[in-house]
Amino acid sequence: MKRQIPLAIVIVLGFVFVFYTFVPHKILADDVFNWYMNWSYSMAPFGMLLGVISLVMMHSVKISRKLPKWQFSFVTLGGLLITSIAGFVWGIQPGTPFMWIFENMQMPMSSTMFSLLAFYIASAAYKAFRARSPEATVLLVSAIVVMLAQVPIGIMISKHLPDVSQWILNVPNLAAKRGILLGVGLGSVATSLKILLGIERSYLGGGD
Amino acid sequence: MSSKRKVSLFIVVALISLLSFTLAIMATDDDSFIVKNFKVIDVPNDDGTGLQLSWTPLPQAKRIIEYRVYRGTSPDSMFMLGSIPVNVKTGISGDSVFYTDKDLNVLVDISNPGELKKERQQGPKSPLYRDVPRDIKVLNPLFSKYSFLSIIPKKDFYYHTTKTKAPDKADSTMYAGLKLRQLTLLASLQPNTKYYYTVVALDERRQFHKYAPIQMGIPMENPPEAVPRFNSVYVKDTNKMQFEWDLPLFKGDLAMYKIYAVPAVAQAAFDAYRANPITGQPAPGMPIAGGQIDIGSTDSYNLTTADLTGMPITPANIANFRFSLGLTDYAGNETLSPLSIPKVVLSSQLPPKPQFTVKDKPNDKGEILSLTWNKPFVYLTQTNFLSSSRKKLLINYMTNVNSEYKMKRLDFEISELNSDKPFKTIHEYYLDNKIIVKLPNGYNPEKGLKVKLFMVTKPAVPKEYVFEQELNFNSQTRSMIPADLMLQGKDVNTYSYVIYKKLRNSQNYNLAKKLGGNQNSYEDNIRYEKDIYKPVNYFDTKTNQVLVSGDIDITYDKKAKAVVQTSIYADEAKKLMDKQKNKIEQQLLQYRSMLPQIKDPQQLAQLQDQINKTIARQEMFKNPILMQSLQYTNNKSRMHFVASNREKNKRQATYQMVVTDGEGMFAVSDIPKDKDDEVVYYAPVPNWFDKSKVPMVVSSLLFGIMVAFMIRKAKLGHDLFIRPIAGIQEIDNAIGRATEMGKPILYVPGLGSLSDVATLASLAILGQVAKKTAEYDTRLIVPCYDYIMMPVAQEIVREAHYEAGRPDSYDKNNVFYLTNVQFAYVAGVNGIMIRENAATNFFMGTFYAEALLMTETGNMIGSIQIAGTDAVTQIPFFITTCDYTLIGEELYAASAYLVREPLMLGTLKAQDYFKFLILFFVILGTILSTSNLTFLINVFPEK
Repeated sequence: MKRQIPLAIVIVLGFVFVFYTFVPHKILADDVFNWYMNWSYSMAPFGMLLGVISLVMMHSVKISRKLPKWQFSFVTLGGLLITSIAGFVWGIQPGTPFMWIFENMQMPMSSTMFSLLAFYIASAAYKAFRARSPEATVLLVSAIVVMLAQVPIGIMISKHLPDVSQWILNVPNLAAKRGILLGVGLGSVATSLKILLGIERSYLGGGD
Repeated sequence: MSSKRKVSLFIVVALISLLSFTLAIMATDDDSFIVKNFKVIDVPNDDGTGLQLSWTPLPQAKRIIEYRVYRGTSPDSMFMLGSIPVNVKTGISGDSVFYTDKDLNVLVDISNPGELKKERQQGPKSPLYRDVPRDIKVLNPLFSKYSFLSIIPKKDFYYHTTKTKAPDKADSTMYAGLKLRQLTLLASLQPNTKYYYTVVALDERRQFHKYAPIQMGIPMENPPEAVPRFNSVYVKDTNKMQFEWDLPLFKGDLAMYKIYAVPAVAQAAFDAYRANPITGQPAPGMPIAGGQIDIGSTDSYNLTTADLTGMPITPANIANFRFSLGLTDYAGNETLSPLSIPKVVLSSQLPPKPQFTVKDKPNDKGEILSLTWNKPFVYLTQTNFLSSSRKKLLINYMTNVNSEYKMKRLDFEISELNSDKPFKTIHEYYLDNKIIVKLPNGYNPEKGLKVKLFMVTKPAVPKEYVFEQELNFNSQTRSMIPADLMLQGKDVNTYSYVIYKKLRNSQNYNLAKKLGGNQNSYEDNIRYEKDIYKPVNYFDTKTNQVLVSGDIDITYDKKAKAVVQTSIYADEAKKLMDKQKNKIEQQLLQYRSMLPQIKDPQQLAQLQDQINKTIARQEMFKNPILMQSLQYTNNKSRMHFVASNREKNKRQATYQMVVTDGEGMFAVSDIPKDKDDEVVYYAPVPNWFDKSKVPMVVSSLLFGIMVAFMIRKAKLGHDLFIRPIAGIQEIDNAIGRATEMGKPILYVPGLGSLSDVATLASLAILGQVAKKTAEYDTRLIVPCYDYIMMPVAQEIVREAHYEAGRPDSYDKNNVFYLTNVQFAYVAGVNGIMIRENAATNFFMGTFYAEALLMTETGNMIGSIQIAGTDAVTQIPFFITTCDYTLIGEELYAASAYLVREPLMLGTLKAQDYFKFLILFFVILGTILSTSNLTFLINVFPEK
């Protein structure tokens, strides 16, 4: 029963949403959909609670067992506690302590992480563009053409460079992208079908 | 006095002075946040329900983020009315800030507090409160000061009201009682009532500063504004006048319009009266037309026709007349427009009467009616030279094809501007909205081009239906600009189409849409009713309820030509019917008693008409739907019956179309009528199947059949070859490596939620990886981004440990929630990766910009990395930084590949065959389209 009931819910509701795609009637488009959305909204806070419990448990264990770098767990738990208190007591409107924490701590830290991406891309590009094989050479040449076409010097080198770059992006690049997307689309349908028919059950925990 | 004492005294005095100075500065500083020049004035030309507030904005240095406006009916208690947000960086650039308190605004809804709450940081004596609370005791004193309207969700009104007596004992009517949480309360100002206002500035620290001095305002009833545009046209051969005008900005109070004919010689006297009109005194002119202006209408457009038969205006003396439009509001104030000199035309010069068809839009949920008229249109929109030598020209075009036609082909004939011989003819089979034209050698495009546009349609358009458009060179933009679109020598956009709509239970036709001359269809949205609007009759402090009338329309009676009303309470419905019957009988008696006294035959005819209409209205009491509704004893089933009938009736509409040049040259369509000369009303129908998705259903079924066939084949023991995928084959080795090294494995399930297919595929792979790690007794760390996914992942890993016979080694703290903030998650994962020194990293699922940050870190610490994602933009990063990458669909195939069960393999194999089928259609479609055969690509939907 522990498996059958969730499986039945998934299959029934899954087919309801398959019908939702093909049936534009108000009953499905409005009534059933809104009913489902209300359910999903009401489920989210419980999921959040589980997440917070998991986080607290993991870090409590780390602190109690004095696992490596256990001191950082205090920072995590402290951050969780302070942000929650700020949000619950003063609200989350602009000007409140919660928003101050968000704007002056979380946003700069997120931006810092994001800014690292530029250096990581340079490092990845270096690895990718090393002309070790014919394929890598093609990659290198294409990359140089596309990069040069983006900057003023490109058109000074050759007036055809932007056209070549556009061709690379529109023809081989787009063809490869569409090929992948076609596979992804079909794979999604196949996976959905497997879930709908109960073939794929791993999301219920375990393989069968 | 000793020197020590002197120093101490000096310090004390200095400290006190400093403190006083600081307090004084702080006090001055706070006062400087009070807005200056705060004024409240009456809104001009309105119905007496509007006041305008203005004040000087504070300087940008004050870092204001919001001005809050408070309103009250006394200066002792004022509630927040609204706010004006301010960009803290730029401030407000103008000299004044304006706020208009007009029309119905939300006063109380579910978000309002349950009790009175003082505004923040305003001190105990402040009269300022936050929003009006959801408290009947607070609202009751406001009842006489505002006009209230409630918005009630229809189900609450049908089924969840309490039948309640009016608090006023003189009123014996039973009302529908609702709690404040069940409705939204709107309120508008009342004329000649005192209202008090103030403004508070909020700075970026969210400090509420002192409120501005309270100002009082009284909204006054004003005469309406004159129409901004009024045109008159005299049709000589039919002796009719046509008038067209725009309504002014404030039109909610407009009741009537009247058109006056004024002799040209009396123009000066008319203008003098117009400048100083006298209420109650008729305007100096001959009324020739008039009518009502619908209150609920939001249109800004109107027109009418006046037959001049029997009037002293003739083709001979029309030049001696001028015309003016008078607008009258409900208070009887009339405003006249400036005099218009009529344009004299023949009826043949007017546009032809428009004809249109109304149909239900197919494949929708039943909210749209499609109106179609005219044949298809094609027109050029813009052009671009494709080379610096200006030899190649890219021309963009647009088509307007309504559902009555199907466009099969477009032909373009391009010629030099002064030539009829085309130098290029293009047949466009696939309408991609662009053509490329190679200009003749030596032709200077600055001379201009001419394009003739032909169309091949089903049903076929006449041969002479050919559009023509010139392309003129613009020396500033250095491009060819399309000129006006001509059809048989006439500019298509001279006339526009105006659509009027009338709902079954409405009295008037209202403006639905005004469309350009090159349009030929309109989709009118007739929404399902969600809320019911009811004026508030009482605030009942005893029962804590808002009382509204329980009467509701149930249907429209054709014989009575009236909307039939009933009550939402079964027992009250009978009483209501009797009450209405009595009222009509009383009216009839009154009319009949007046009959002998009237001698004027015209007045007599009018009264007789009234009597006939009143007698006809009695028919509504025999209406079968009303009769059936009275049979019900159970209120719930009765209301179900009432609701289904009234909603069906309310969602019916009829239309009328006007084609006009906007200056009085118009023609009005006939009203759609049936054989019995009854007006036809159209209702949108909800559809149970979207026929445009037939190809999708067919391909889904075909795919399903292929899956079933392949599964059966696999079950029968056929060996299904699956292309080896290196990334999946290496999973075992990667786990083995971590085991040998005695280091943990990190499994990152991506940023997707459980509704993403990639995440579900990732969880399937997680199950297999967890089983292996459990067997090898290797620690598996799974940091989760989605808190709903986390318990699922925990369950999967736990089950895997049980299946491997190692439940003791399962630690749920290894599968944990990290955060759902993108870059915080990256920081967390990277930290874990470095601290735990993971030997193997799996990245499976949906990834965005964080992908490279994580995999590059793993690469730096020397982990073996296997990634898989369906995010096309992240695949190159994974390929560069990971050892193995599952590209797109390989991620979905991985679990089947690992399990190798017939069910799974069958699906995978079917997927491959289906891909082959798609490829076949892509190639076939390309070949056929290249050969100008577009039937195949037209079978498939575009999106």
